[in-house]
Amino acid sequence: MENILEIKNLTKEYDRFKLNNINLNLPKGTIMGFIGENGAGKTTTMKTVLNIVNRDSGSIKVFGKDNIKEEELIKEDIGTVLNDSFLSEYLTPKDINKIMKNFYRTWDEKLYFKYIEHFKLPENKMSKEFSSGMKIKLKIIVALAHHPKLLILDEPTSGLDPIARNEILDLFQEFIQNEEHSILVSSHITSDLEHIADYITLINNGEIVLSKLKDELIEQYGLVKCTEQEFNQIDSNDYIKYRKNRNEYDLLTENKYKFKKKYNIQVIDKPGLDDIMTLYIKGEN
Amino acid sequence: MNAIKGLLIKDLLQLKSYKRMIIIYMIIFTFFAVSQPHTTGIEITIIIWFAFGFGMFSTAAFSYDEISKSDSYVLTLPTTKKETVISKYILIIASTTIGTILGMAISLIITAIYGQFPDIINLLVVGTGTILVMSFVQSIHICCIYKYGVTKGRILILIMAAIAALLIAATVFTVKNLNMELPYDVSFSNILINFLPIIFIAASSMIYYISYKISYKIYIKKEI
Repeated sequence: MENILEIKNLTKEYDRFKLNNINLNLPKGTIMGFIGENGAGKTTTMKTVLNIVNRDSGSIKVFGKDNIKEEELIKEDIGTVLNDSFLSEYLTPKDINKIMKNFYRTWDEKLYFKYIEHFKLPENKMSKEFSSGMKIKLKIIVALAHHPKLLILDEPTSGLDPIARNEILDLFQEFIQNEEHSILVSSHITSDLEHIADYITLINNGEIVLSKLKDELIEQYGLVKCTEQEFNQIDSNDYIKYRKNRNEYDLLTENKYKFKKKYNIQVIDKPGLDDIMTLYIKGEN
Repeated sequence: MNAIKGLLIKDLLQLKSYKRMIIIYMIIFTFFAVSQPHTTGIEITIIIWFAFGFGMFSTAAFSYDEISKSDSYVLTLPTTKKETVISKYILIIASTTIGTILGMAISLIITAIYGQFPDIINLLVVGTGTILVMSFVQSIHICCIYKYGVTKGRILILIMAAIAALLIAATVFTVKNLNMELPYDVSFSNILINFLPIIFIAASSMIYYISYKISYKIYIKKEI
Protein backbone atom coordinates (compact mmCIF):
# COMPACT_ATOMS: atom_id res chain seq x y z
CA MET A 1 0.00 0.00 0.00
CA GLU A 2 1.32 3.45 -0.93
CA ASN A 3 2.15 5.75 1.95
CA ILE A 4 0.79 9.27 2.07
CA LEU A 5 3.16 10.17 4.91
CA GLU A 6 6.61 8.73 5.63
CA ILE A 7 8.70 9.82 8.58
CA LYS A 8 12.21 8.39 8.76
CA ASN A 9 14.61 8.68 11.70
CA LEU A 10 13.15 12.01 12.78
CA THR A 11 15.01 13.61 15.66
CA LYS A 12 14.36 16.90 17.40
CA GLU A 13 16.03 17.86 20.63
CA TYR A 14 14.94 20.46 23.16
CA ASP A 15 16.52 21.24 26.53
CA ARG A 16 14.36 18.76 28.41
CA PHE A 17 12.80 16.67 25.69
CA LYS A 18 13.90 14.69 22.69
CA LEU A 19 11.89 13.35 19.80
CA ASN A 20 14.08 10.33 19.24
CA ASN A 21 14.44 8.54 15.92
CA ILE A 22 10.77 8.58 14.96
CA ASN A 23 9.76 6.25 12.13
CA LEU A 24 6.18 6.27 10.99
CA ASN A 25 4.27 5.36 7.82
CA LEU A 26 0.70 6.34 7.11
CA PRO A 27 -0.79 4.39 4.19
CA LYS A 28 -3.29 5.94 1.80
CA GLY A 29 -6.93 5.39 2.64
CA THR A 30 -6.32 4.88 6.37
CA ILE A 31 -6.75 6.64 9.69
CA MET A 32 -3.92 6.52 12.18
CA GLY A 33 -4.66 7.24 15.82
CA PHE A 34 -1.68 8.82 17.53
CA ILE A 35 -1.78 8.28 21.27
CA GLY A 36 0.43 9.01 24.25
CA GLU A 37 0.62 11.02 27.46
CA ASN A 38 0.67 14.82 27.45
CA GLY A 39 4.15 15.93 26.44
CA ALA A 40 5.02 12.57 24.86
CA GLY A 41 5.76 14.22 21.49
CA LYS A 42 2.52 13.89 19.50
CA THR A 43 2.09 17.60 18.76
CA THR A 44 5.82 18.10 18.11
CA THR A 45 5.78 15.25 15.59
CA MET A 46 2.76 16.72 13.83
CA LYS A 47 4.25 20.22 13.83
CA THR A 48 7.49 18.84 12.39
CA VAL A 49 5.53 17.27 9.53
CA LEU A 50 4.00 20.71 8.89
CA ASN A 51 7.46 22.33 9.12
CA ILE A 52 6.34 24.58 11.96
CA VAL A 53 8.99 23.00 14.15
CA ASN A 54 12.48 22.67 12.65
CA ARG A 55 13.80 19.12 12.71
CA ASP A 56 17.38 18.29 13.71
CA SER A 57 17.70 15.23 11.48
CA GLY A 58 15.72 12.66 9.55
CA SER A 59 13.39 12.99 6.61
CA ILE A 60 9.68 13.56 6.13
CA LYS A 61 7.84 12.86 2.91
CA VAL A 62 4.25 13.84 2.32
CA PHE A 63 2.62 12.65 -0.91
CA GLY A 64 6.13 11.41 -1.80
CA LYS A 65 7.56 14.95 -1.62
CA ASP A 66 10.01 16.45 0.86
CA ASN A 67 8.05 18.48 3.41
CA ILE A 68 10.53 21.37 3.42
CA LYS A 69 11.55 21.62 -0.23
CA GLU A 70 7.97 21.50 -1.44
CA GLU A 71 6.32 22.96 1.63
CA GLU A 72 3.74 25.20 -0.01
CA LEU A 73 2.71 22.62 -2.60
CA ILE A 74 2.25 19.94 0.05
CA LYS A 75 0.24 22.19 2.35
CA GLU A 76 -2.28 22.82 -0.44
CA ASP A 77 -3.46 19.25 0.16
CA ILE A 78 -3.29 19.14 3.96
CA GLY A 79 -6.08 20.14 6.31
CA THR A 80 -5.02 20.81 9.87
CA VAL A 81 -6.63 21.18 13.25
CA LEU A 82 -4.26 22.26 16.01
CA ASN A 83 -5.38 21.98 19.59
CA ASP A 84 -3.74 25.18 20.75
CA SER A 85 -3.83 27.45 17.75
CA PHE A 86 -6.26 28.89 15.21
CA LEU A 87 -7.11 32.20 13.62
CA SER A 88 -8.05 35.15 15.82
CA GLU A 89 -11.35 34.94 17.68
CA TYR A 90 -12.12 38.45 16.45
CA LEU A 91 -12.89 36.98 13.02
CA THR A 92 -16.29 35.76 11.85
CA PRO A 93 -16.81 32.63 9.70
CA LYS A 94 -17.45 35.03 6.80
CA ASP A 95 -14.10 36.74 7.41
CA ILE A 96 -12.38 33.37 7.51
CA ASN A 97 -13.81 32.52 4.09
CA LYS A 98 -12.39 35.79 2.70
CA ILE A 99 -8.97 34.89 4.10
CA MET A 100 -8.86 31.23 3.17
CA LYS A 101 -9.81 31.61 -0.46
CA ASN A 102 -6.53 33.42 -0.95
CA PHE A 103 -4.49 30.61 0.54
CA TYR A 104 -6.00 27.58 -1.16
CA ARG A 105 -6.46 27.24 -4.89
CA THR A 106 -9.03 24.53 -4.14
CA TRP A 107 -10.94 26.45 -1.45
CA ASP A 108 -14.61 25.50 -1.86
CA GLU A 109 -16.74 28.40 -0.69
CA LYS A 110 -19.98 26.48 -1.27
CA LEU A 111 -18.82 23.50 0.74
CA TYR A 112 -17.57 25.78 3.53
CA PHE A 113 -20.90 27.56 3.90
CA LYS A 114 -22.74 24.25 3.56
CA TYR A 115 -20.85 22.95 6.61
CA ILE A 116 -21.34 26.28 8.43
CA GLU A 117 -25.08 25.94 7.88
CA HIS A 118 -25.09 22.22 8.73
CA PHE A 119 -23.42 22.85 12.09
CA LYS A 120 -25.59 25.92 12.72
CA LEU A 121 -22.69 28.34 13.12
CA PRO A 122 -23.59 32.03 12.79
CA GLU A 123 -21.79 33.47 9.76
CA ASN A 124 -21.48 37.00 11.04
CA LYS A 125 -20.60 36.46 14.67
CA MET A 126 -17.02 36.69 15.90
CA SER A 127 -15.87 33.26 17.01
CA LYS A 128 -15.03 34.63 20.49
CA GLU A 129 -18.78 34.50 21.08
CA PHE A 130 -18.95 30.81 20.11
CA SER A 131 -19.14 27.95 22.60
CA SER A 132 -16.02 25.76 22.76
CA GLY A 133 -17.83 23.08 20.75
CA MET A 134 -18.71 25.59 18.02
CA LYS A 135 -15.10 26.77 17.88
CA ILE A 136 -13.87 23.22 17.35
CA LYS A 137 -16.47 22.64 14.63
CA LEU A 138 -15.29 25.80 12.87
CA LYS A 139 -11.67 24.58 12.95
CA ILE A 140 -12.71 21.25 11.44
CA ILE A 141 -14.85 22.87 8.75
CA VAL A 142 -11.93 25.08 7.72
CA ALA A 143 -9.68 22.02 7.57
CA LEU A 144 -12.10 20.22 5.26
CA ALA A 145 -13.26 23.01 2.96
CA HIS A 146 -10.37 22.92 0.50
CA HIS A 147 -10.70 19.21 -0.32
CA PRO A 148 -7.47 18.09 1.37
CA LYS A 149 -5.99 14.64 0.84
CA LEU A 150 -4.43 14.41 4.28
CA LEU A 151 -5.89 15.58 7.57
CA ILE A 152 -3.55 16.23 10.47
CA LEU A 153 -5.68 16.59 13.57
CA ASP A 154 -4.36 17.35 17.02
CA GLU A 155 -7.04 16.60 19.61
CA PRO A 156 -9.90 17.52 17.26
CA THR A 157 -12.73 16.24 19.42
CA SER A 158 -11.64 17.37 22.88
CA GLY A 159 -14.25 19.62 24.44
CA LEU A 160 -17.10 18.29 22.31
CA ASP A 161 -20.18 16.63 23.75
CA PRO A 162 -20.84 13.01 22.63
CA ILE A 163 -23.41 14.01 20.01
CA ALA A 164 -21.17 16.62 18.42
CA ARG A 165 -18.24 14.19 18.63
CA ASN A 166 -20.17 11.57 16.71
CA GLU A 167 -21.12 14.13 14.07
CA ILE A 168 -17.46 15.01 13.64
CA LEU A 169 -16.38 11.38 13.56
CA ASP A 170 -18.95 10.76 10.84
CA LEU A 171 -17.36 13.58 8.85
CA PHE A 172 -13.98 11.89 9.17
CA GLN A 173 -15.47 8.55 8.12
CA GLU A 174 -17.02 10.25 5.10
CA PHE A 175 -13.68 11.87 4.26
CA ILE A 176 -11.86 8.55 4.37
CA GLN A 177 -14.27 6.94 1.91
CA ASN A 178 -11.99 8.31 -0.78
CA GLU A 179 -9.06 5.87 -0.93
CA GLU A 180 -6.62 8.65 -1.74
CA HIS A 181 -7.31 10.28 1.63
CA SER A 182 -5.67 9.66 5.03
CA ILE A 183 -5.94 11.02 8.55
CA LEU A 184 -3.33 11.31 11.28
CA VAL A 185 -5.24 12.09 14.46
CA SER A 186 -4.09 12.45 18.03
CA SER A 187 -6.64 12.10 20.77
CA HIS A 188 -6.94 11.37 24.46
CA ILE A 189 -10.45 10.12 23.82
CA THR A 190 -9.35 6.62 22.91
CA SER A 191 -12.93 5.43 22.42
CA ASP A 192 -13.07 7.73 19.39
CA LEU A 193 -9.96 6.13 17.98
CA GLU A 194 -11.30 2.65 18.67
CA HIS A 195 -14.28 3.73 16.61
CA ILE A 196 -12.50 5.18 13.57
CA ALA A 197 -8.77 4.33 13.45
CA ASP A 198 -7.18 1.67 11.28
CA TYR A 199 -3.74 2.00 12.87
CA ILE A 200 -2.68 2.93 16.37
CA THR A 201 0.69 4.50 17.09
CA LEU A 202 1.79 4.98 20.67
CA ILE A 203 4.49 7.49 21.51
CA ASN A 204 6.15 7.70 24.90
CA ASN A 205 8.91 10.10 25.99
CA GLY A 206 9.59 11.04 22.37
CA GLU A 207 9.87 7.47 21.11
CA ILE A 208 7.43 5.34 19.13
CA VAL A 209 6.79 2.27 21.25
CA LEU A 210 4.02 0.71 19.21
CA SER A 211 2.55 1.10 15.74
CA LYS A 212 0.07 -1.55 14.66
CA LEU A 213 -3.25 -2.24 13.02
CA LYS A 214 -5.97 -1.45 15.53
CA ASP A 215 -7.85 -4.68 14.87
CA GLU A 216 -4.69 -6.67 15.49
CA LEU A 217 -4.25 -4.88 18.81
CA ILE A 218 -7.80 -5.33 19.96
CA GLU A 219 -8.29 -8.86 18.65
CA GLN A 220 -4.91 -10.46 19.31
CA TYR A 221 -3.60 -8.61 22.34
CA GLY A 222 -4.96 -9.76 25.65
CA LEU A 223 -5.36 -8.21 29.07
CA VAL A 224 -4.62 -10.95 31.53
CA LYS A 225 -5.84 -10.63 35.10
CA CYS A 226 -4.22 -13.01 37.53
CA THR A 227 -3.21 -13.58 41.13
CA GLU A 228 0.31 -13.19 42.42
CA GLN A 229 0.68 -16.96 42.55
CA GLU A 230 -0.36 -17.31 38.90
CA PHE A 231 1.84 -14.40 37.91
CA ASN A 232 4.90 -16.07 39.40
CA GLN A 233 4.39 -19.04 37.09
CA ILE A 234 4.26 -16.96 33.91
CA ASP A 235 7.35 -16.70 31.72
CA SER A 236 8.32 -13.05 31.28
CA ASN A 237 8.66 -13.64 27.52
CA ASP A 238 4.93 -14.31 27.31
CA TYR A 239 3.84 -10.81 28.23
CA ILE A 240 4.88 -7.33 27.15
CA LYS A 241 4.30 -5.45 30.40
CA TYR A 242 2.63 -6.03 33.73
CA ARG A 243 1.18 -3.87 36.43
CA LYS A 244 0.48 -4.79 40.01
CA ASN A 245 -2.86 -3.66 41.35
CA ARG A 246 -4.11 -4.16 44.89
CA ASN A 247 -4.85 -7.87 44.81
CA GLU A 248 -4.11 -8.84 41.27
CA TYR A 249 -1.76 -8.43 38.38
CA ASP A 250 -2.64 -6.99 34.95
CA LEU A 251 -0.55 -8.33 32.11
CA LEU A 252 -0.53 -7.33 28.48
CA THR A 253 0.12 -10.17 26.12
CA GLU A 254 0.71 -9.94 22.40
CA ASN A 255 -1.20 -13.08 21.56
CA LYS A 256 -4.01 -14.03 23.90
CA TYR A 257 -4.74 -17.28 22.05
CA LYS A 258 -1.20 -18.63 22.54
CA PHE A 259 -1.33 -17.42 26.13
CA LYS A 260 -4.60 -19.22 26.77
CA LYS A 261 -3.18 -22.44 25.43
CA LYS A 262 -0.08 -22.23 27.59
CA TYR A 263 -1.56 -21.09 30.89
CA ASN A 264 -4.66 -22.04 32.72
CA ILE A 265 -5.82 -18.51 33.44
CA GLN A 266 -9.50 -17.79 33.14
CA VAL A 267 -9.65 -14.00 32.84
CA ILE A 268 -8.17 -12.74 29.60
CA ASP A 269 -10.03 -9.68 28.38
CA LYS A 270 -9.98 -7.77 25.14
CA PRO A 271 -7.83 -4.77 26.00
CA GLY A 272 -9.04 -1.25 25.31
CA LEU A 273 -6.62 1.34 23.96
CA ASP A 274 -6.53 2.89 27.43
CA ASP A 275 -5.38 -0.43 28.91
CA ILE A 276 -2.71 -0.86 26.24
CA MET A 277 -1.47 2.71 26.69
CA THR A 278 -1.44 2.52 30.49
CA LEU A 279 0.40 -0.80 30.55
CA TYR A 280 2.96 0.25 27.93
CA ILE A 281 3.67 3.51 29.73
CA LYS A 282 3.22 2.66 33.40
CA GLY A 283 3.79 -1.09 33.32
CA GLU A 284 6.98 -2.96 34.15
CA ASN A 285 8.84 -5.48 32.03
CA MET B 1 1.72 36.09 -3.75
CA ASN B 2 -1.84 35.03 -2.96
CA ALA B 3 -0.68 33.81 0.45
CA ILE B 4 0.67 37.31 1.20
CA LYS B 5 -2.68 38.74 0.12
CA GLY B 6 -4.43 36.27 2.44
CA LEU B 7 -2.14 37.21 5.32
CA LEU B 8 -2.79 40.93 4.74
CA ILE B 9 -6.54 40.39 4.58
CA LYS B 10 -6.33 38.40 7.83
CA ASP B 11 -4.51 41.27 9.57
CA LEU B 12 -6.82 43.94 8.16
CA LEU B 13 -9.95 42.01 9.16
CA GLN B 14 -8.52 41.56 12.66
CA LEU B 15 -7.78 45.26 12.85
CA LYS B 16 -11.27 46.27 11.74
CA SER B 17 -12.30 46.54 15.39
CA TYR B 18 -9.87 49.49 15.56
CA LYS B 19 -11.80 51.31 12.80
CA ARG B 20 -13.85 53.45 15.21
CA MET B 21 -10.79 54.21 17.34
CA ILE B 22 -8.81 55.36 14.29
CA ILE B 23 -11.64 57.67 13.19
CA ILE B 24 -11.88 59.16 16.71
CA TYR B 25 -8.09 59.57 16.77
CA MET B 26 -8.17 61.41 13.42
CA ILE B 27 -11.05 63.68 14.49
CA ILE B 28 -9.42 64.58 17.81
CA PHE B 29 -6.08 65.48 16.26
CA THR B 30 -7.62 67.38 13.35
CA PHE B 31 -9.82 69.32 15.80
CA PHE B 32 -6.79 69.97 18.00
CA ALA B 33 -4.86 71.31 14.99
CA VAL B 34 -7.67 73.53 13.73
CA SER B 35 -8.39 74.95 17.20
CA GLN B 36 -4.77 76.01 17.77
CA PRO B 37 -3.61 79.51 16.81
CA HIS B 38 -2.07 79.09 13.40
CA THR B 39 1.65 78.62 13.76
CA THR B 40 4.13 76.91 11.49
CA GLY B 41 4.50 73.85 13.66
CA ILE B 42 0.93 72.61 13.69
CA GLU B 43 0.95 71.06 10.19
CA ILE B 44 4.11 69.23 11.11
CA THR B 45 2.51 67.95 14.32
CA ILE B 46 -0.51 66.69 12.37
CA ILE B 47 1.66 64.72 9.94
CA ILE B 48 3.72 63.21 12.74
CA TRP B 49 0.65 62.22 14.76
CA PHE B 50 -1.12 60.66 11.81
CA ALA B 51 1.96 58.71 10.70
CA PHE B 52 2.62 57.60 14.27
CA GLY B 53 -1.02 56.67 14.93
CA PHE B 54 -1.51 54.63 11.78
CA GLY B 55 1.90 53.00 12.12
CA MET B 56 1.30 51.98 15.71
CA PHE B 57 -2.28 50.77 15.15
CA SER B 58 -1.02 48.33 12.55
CA THR B 59 1.46 46.76 14.97
CA ALA B 60 -1.61 45.62 16.92
CA ALA B 61 -1.83 42.85 14.29
CA PHE B 62 1.01 41.18 16.20
CA SER B 63 -1.04 41.30 19.41
CA TYR B 64 -3.98 39.53 17.75
CA ASP B 65 -1.65 36.81 16.47
CA GLU B 66 -0.10 36.38 19.90
CA ILE B 67 -3.40 36.28 21.79
CA SER B 68 -4.91 33.66 19.48
CA LYS B 69 -1.54 31.89 19.09
CA SER B 70 -2.30 31.97 15.40
CA ASP B 71 1.36 31.86 14.30
CA SER B 72 1.42 28.06 14.38
CA TYR B 73 -1.88 27.73 12.60
CA VAL B 74 -0.96 30.20 9.87
CA LEU B 75 2.13 28.12 9.13
CA THR B 76 -0.04 25.06 8.48
CA LEU B 77 -1.54 26.96 5.53
CA PRO B 78 0.20 27.02 2.13
CA THR B 79 2.60 29.78 3.09
CA THR B 80 6.10 30.12 4.49
CA LYS B 81 7.72 31.95 7.39
CA LYS B 82 9.25 34.32 4.82
CA GLU B 83 5.85 35.32 3.47
CA THR B 84 4.42 35.88 6.95
CA VAL B 85 7.27 38.27 7.79
CA ILE B 86 6.98 40.07 4.43
CA SER B 87 3.22 40.54 4.93
CA LYS B 88 3.75 42.19 8.31
CA TYR B 89 6.26 44.65 6.84
CA ILE B 90 3.93 45.45 3.94
CA LEU B 91 1.10 46.13 6.40
CA ILE B 92 3.19 48.40 8.61
CA ILE B 93 4.87 50.32 5.76
CA ALA B 94 1.54 50.78 3.97
CA SER B 95 -0.30 51.98 7.07
CA THR B 96 2.48 54.42 8.00
CA THR B 97 2.52 55.77 4.45
CA ILE B 98 -1.28 56.13 4.39
CA GLY B 99 -1.16 57.88 7.78
CA THR B 100 1.51 60.27 6.50
CA ILE B 101 -0.39 61.03 3.29
CA LEU B 102 -3.61 61.64 5.25
CA GLY B 103 -1.69 63.87 7.65
CA MET B 104 -0.24 65.81 4.73
CA ALA B 105 -3.65 66.18 3.11
CA ILE B 106 -5.20 67.49 6.33
CA SER B 107 -2.23 69.84 6.79
CA LEU B 108 -2.81 71.20 3.31
CA ILE B 109 -6.50 71.73 4.03
CA ILE B 110 -5.75 73.49 7.33
CA THR B 111 -3.20 75.75 5.62
CA ALA B 112 -5.74 76.53 2.91
CA ILE B 113 -8.38 77.34 5.56
CA TYR B 114 -6.00 79.93 6.97
CA GLY B 115 -5.68 81.36 3.48
CA GLN B 116 -2.05 80.51 2.97
CA PHE B 117 -0.44 78.95 -0.04
CA PRO B 118 0.94 75.61 1.11
CA ASP B 119 4.65 74.97 0.72
CA ILE B 120 4.49 71.58 -0.98
CA ILE B 121 8.23 70.91 -0.87
CA ASN B 122 8.44 71.62 2.86
CA LEU B 123 5.41 69.41 3.40
CA LEU B 124 7.00 66.61 1.40
CA VAL B 125 10.22 66.93 3.36
CA VAL B 126 8.33 66.75 6.64
CA GLY B 127 6.21 63.81 5.41
CA THR B 128 9.12 61.74 4.15
CA GLY B 129 11.19 62.75 7.17
CA THR B 130 8.41 61.43 9.40
CA ILE B 131 8.39 58.16 7.46
CA LEU B 132 12.16 57.97 7.98
CA VAL B 133 11.83 58.40 11.75
CA MET B 134 8.93 55.93 11.84
CA SER B 135 10.91 53.40 9.79
CA PHE B 136 13.67 53.57 12.37
CA VAL B 137 11.32 53.17 15.36
CA GLN B 138 9.19 50.45 13.74
CA SER B 139 12.18 48.52 12.45
CA ILE B 140 13.55 48.14 15.95
CA HIS B 141 10.07 47.48 17.33
CA ILE B 142 9.28 44.69 14.85
CA CYS B 143 12.63 42.96 15.41
CA CYS B 144 11.99 43.14 19.19
CA ILE B 145 8.51 41.64 18.72
CA TYR B 146 9.88 38.74 16.68
CA LYS B 147 12.62 38.16 19.20
CA TYR B 148 10.83 38.72 22.52
CA GLY B 149 7.09 38.75 21.76
CA VAL B 150 4.58 41.59 21.79
CA THR B 151 4.61 42.49 25.50
CA LYS B 152 8.39 42.55 25.92
CA GLY B 153 8.72 44.24 22.52
CA ARG B 154 6.36 47.00 23.64
CA ILE B 155 8.29 47.50 26.89
CA LEU B 156 11.57 47.69 24.97
CA ILE B 157 10.19 50.28 22.56
CA LEU B 158 8.91 52.35 25.51
CA ILE B 159 12.34 52.21 27.10
CA MET B 160 13.86 53.30 23.79
CA ALA B 161 11.36 56.16 23.51
CA ALA B 162 12.21 57.25 27.06
CA ILE B 163 15.93 57.20 26.27
CA ALA B 164 15.32 59.19 23.06
CA ALA B 165 13.23 61.75 24.98
CA LEU B 166 15.98 62.07 27.61
CA LEU B 167 18.60 62.58 24.91
CA ILE B 168 16.51 65.28 23.22
CA ALA B 169 15.88 66.98 26.59
CA ALA B 170 19.59 66.81 27.41
CA THR B 171 20.46 68.29 24.00
CA VAL B 172 17.96 71.14 24.43
CA PHE B 173 19.23 71.80 27.94
CA THR B 174 22.86 71.84 26.78
CA VAL B 175 22.16 74.04 23.77
CA LYS B 176 20.20 76.52 25.90
CA ASN B 177 22.97 76.67 28.49
CA LEU B 178 25.46 77.45 25.73
CA ASN B 179 23.18 80.31 24.61
CA MET B 180 22.72 78.79 21.17
CA GLU B 181 19.48 79.09 19.16
CA LEU B 182 17.30 76.06 18.58
CA PRO B 183 16.11 75.53 14.98
CA TYR B 184 12.37 75.70 15.85
CA ASP B 185 11.51 77.04 12.47
CA VAL B 186 13.10 74.62 10.13
CA SER B 187 13.55 76.09 6.70
CA PHE B 188 15.02 74.08 3.91
CA SER B 189 16.45 76.83 1.77
CA ASN B 190 19.42 74.80 0.82
CA ILE B 191 19.80 73.33 -2.67
CA LEU B 192 19.42 69.81 -1.29
CA ILE B 193 15.79 70.42 -0.36
CA ASN B 194 14.41 69.06 -3.64
CA PHE B 195 16.28 65.82 -3.12
CA LEU B 196 15.53 65.37 0.57
CA PRO B 197 12.22 63.49 0.05
CA ILE B 198 13.97 61.03 -2.27
CA ILE B 199 16.90 60.65 0.14
CA PHE B 200 14.50 60.10 3.07
CA ILE B 201 12.45 57.52 1.17
CA ALA B 202 15.60 55.69 0.06
CA ALA B 203 16.94 55.70 3.63
CA SER B 204 13.57 54.46 4.99
CA SER B 205 13.48 51.66 2.42
CA MET B 206 16.97 50.62 3.39
CA ILE B 207 16.12 50.63 7.11
CA TYR B 208 12.94 48.58 6.57
CA TYR B 209 14.86 46.14 4.37
CA ILE B 210 17.61 45.59 6.94
CA SER B 211 14.98 45.20 9.65
CA TYR B 212 13.07 42.66 7.51
CA LYS B 213 16.25 40.63 7.02
CA ILE B 214 16.91 40.58 10.78
CA SER B 215 13.28 39.72 11.63
CA TYR B 216 13.26 36.91 9.08
CA LYS B 217 16.46 35.46 10.52
CA ILE B 218 14.96 35.59 14.02
CA TYR B 219 11.65 34.05 12.89
CA ILE B 220 13.15 31.22 10.83
CA LYS B 221 15.06 30.01 13.89
CA LYS B 222 12.17 30.52 16.27
CA GLU B 223 10.36 27.49 17.65
CA ILE B 224 6.67 28.29 17.52
